[in-house]
Amino acid sequence: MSAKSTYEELEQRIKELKKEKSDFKRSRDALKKRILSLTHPLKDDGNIVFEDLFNINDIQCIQDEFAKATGVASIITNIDGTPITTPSNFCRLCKDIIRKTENGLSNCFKSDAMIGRFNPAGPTIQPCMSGGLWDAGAGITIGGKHIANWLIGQVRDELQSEDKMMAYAREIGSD
Amino acid sequence: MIEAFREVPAMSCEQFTRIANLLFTLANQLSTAAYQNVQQACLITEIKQAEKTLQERDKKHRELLEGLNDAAYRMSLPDGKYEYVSQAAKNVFGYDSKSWLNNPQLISTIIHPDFIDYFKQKWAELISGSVFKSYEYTLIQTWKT
Repeated sequence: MSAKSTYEELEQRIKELKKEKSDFKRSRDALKKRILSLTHPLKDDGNIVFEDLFNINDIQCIQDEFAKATGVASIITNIDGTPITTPSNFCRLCKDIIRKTENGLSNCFKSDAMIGRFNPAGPTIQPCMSGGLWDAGAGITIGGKHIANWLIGQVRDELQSEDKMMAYAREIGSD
Repeated sequence: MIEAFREVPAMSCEQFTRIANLLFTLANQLSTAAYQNVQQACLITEIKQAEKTLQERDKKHRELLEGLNDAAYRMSLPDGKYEYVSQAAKNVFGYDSKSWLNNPQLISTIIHPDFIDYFKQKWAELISGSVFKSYEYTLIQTWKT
């Protein structure tokens, strides 16, 4: 005879089912977009860049307000990680220390390129490959072609420590 | 360095995931808007190009027709309104293209009385969908010899 589920177990199951439903919907939407890009391909997408498609001032405003409202840092970059917009809400650690060193900045660009890569299934969430703080990213595409990365992050939890940060500071040559 | 690290905002994994999901939705919306903008731009370019080609072709046809000694016209049915009458109409019929364009009934007023029945019959056939290769009738001309 099977044991009766507790209230907590049922609640947990409901959460899992909701997540499954959300993941399914996301996959379905991604597939729809894929079908659209395959059936209606862009005729001349060779030279299309993010700046040609959007008013950068408006995008900057959206990014700034998004960062302010959610409490995370944010930036939009090219697919190689080089910035398109001005950083919003960047923390002093990233802005004035890590990104001020050549190695640190290079690692930031690499990390931004990696975390912002196109993933139709959902956002990429992982520790930054430079300072190790939590980052997330989503690719911006046009007809299936990846043209930019939208990144957020620079938040910490128990994963990061002062010791690890000091070690990284030494590694990139920062005091 | 340590001070700067301590300034970094702390956030739970759940909260950060929620924000990341919001980011994903916004990025997707931007992608959709970008795609639609480009498709619309392509469509507008195609329409403009087609219009230009059409205008060029129309100009060529018009030049060709205007160079002919025979009169050429295009008429809409069933109202019998002339949409185009070439310049040679003046020499062939005695009435210039403007007269034809301004007066759809002109033909019925200048047809020779011997051909009025013929004209009525052929017009009725034309309206019912029977188009013949040629029509032959006499008109009353206006010019003096």
